[in-house]
Amino acid sequence: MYRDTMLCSLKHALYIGILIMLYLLQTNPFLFHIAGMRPLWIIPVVVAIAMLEGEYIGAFYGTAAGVLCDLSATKLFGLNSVLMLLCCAAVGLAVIYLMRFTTLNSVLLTGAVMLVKDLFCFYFYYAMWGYSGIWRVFVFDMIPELILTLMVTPPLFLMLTHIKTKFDERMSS
Amino acid sequence: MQDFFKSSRFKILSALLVVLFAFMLRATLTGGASVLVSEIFGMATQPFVSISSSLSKGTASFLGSFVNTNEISRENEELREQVRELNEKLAAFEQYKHENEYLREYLEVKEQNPDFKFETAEVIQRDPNNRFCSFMIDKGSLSGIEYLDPVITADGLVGRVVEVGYTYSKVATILDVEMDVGCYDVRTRDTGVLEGDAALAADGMCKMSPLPRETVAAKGDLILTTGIGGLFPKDIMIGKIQHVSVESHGKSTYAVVKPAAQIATLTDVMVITDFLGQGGINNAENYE
Repeated sequence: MYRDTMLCSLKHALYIGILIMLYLLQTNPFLFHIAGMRPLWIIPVVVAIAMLEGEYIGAFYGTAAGVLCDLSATKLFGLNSVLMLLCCAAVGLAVIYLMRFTTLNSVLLTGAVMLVKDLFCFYFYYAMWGYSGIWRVFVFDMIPELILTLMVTPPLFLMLTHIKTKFDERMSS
Repeated sequence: MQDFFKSSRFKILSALLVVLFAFMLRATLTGGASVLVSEIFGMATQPFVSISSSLSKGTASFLGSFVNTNEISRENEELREQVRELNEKLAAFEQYKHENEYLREYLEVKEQNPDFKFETAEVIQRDPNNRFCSFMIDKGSLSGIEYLDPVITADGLVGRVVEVGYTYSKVATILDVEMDVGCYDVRTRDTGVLEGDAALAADGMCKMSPLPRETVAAKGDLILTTGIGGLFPKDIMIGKIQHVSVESHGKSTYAVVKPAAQIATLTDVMVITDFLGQGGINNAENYE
């Protein structure tokens, strides 16, 4: 029992470590980017965690990822947190009741979460204020960001699935 | 699915959602003041972010000298050309300076040096894929930085502080569509408002408008801050006009301005924490 608790804690410490490392990669002004664009590394991670761990734990990780997104943005604090909480809870429920646990579905769900997040952020941050030509932000910033994020989703999903499987094996043994 | 909505887990998540909403509402009300959750996460991640930023800055600088040889060479050529032009201007400047000093003495105008107080800061985070190039710096309210303090570099105006934590601050740049800066053309004395534009921001430029339809503002004119409103000090360099165009409605013109500061690649900035006339609007309101 004690060993299982320790392993479970270690697993979550590893998840949090990965989340922080990828957040640094995502926001560091000098690191990885493709033609000036970067994927949102932490979104596929929390979507994968929601798929692996269910809606409850997934919602907490989603909230954490949302807070980190809010932290790096200069816009209204809290919108990303609320959206990611709801999205990750929905992802967890979708995998339990509707969808199979596959890599393709992780890409689809990450795409859906990104799209919901981007549409809400675009509307509340820009569109509702009526700035001229602001559609460019969605088309030339948010869509490429979404595509890049989808590209990095499969390796992240497989990595997290591998971590979860290894820990489950140890716990069951 | 029904079980989930009746479970205690659902109630806990609902409570969490309400708390997040409350923080969001508080953030809208408090403006630049950082909310508790932001403060906690900001302080928890700031050491990692600073270390990561310093390490990668050193590495990028080292590797960049090999990767960007052509760019550096081209930039060197451009800088040589600029030095030649500046030397010519310097000669003219000395003449004007002498004349100016004479006139000042004549008019007995006491020269006022703006009493700026600076706080230097390092860029530690950038909002990923934000075309307006907003960023976070490693100094906050503990260093005396306040909401709406102007941010500059030696080259010119960068933006202003839009959120302040204890150990960090967020900066919105002059490329941002939310930014308005009172400015004027040094040569023609045309005044206008510098604002971000979604289309121009992609090329690192912003828009000065409205200019009179018959304006003689032209490419190369210097744009400085007017200082009106007390948000920015007077006569801070903003940039140079790239071109002047007529607005779609045809009643006025606007100028596309290239900021003097290299906003997209900044690594260090200066925050002006105090200057003569700061908060002019608020002070005037208080006075009234």
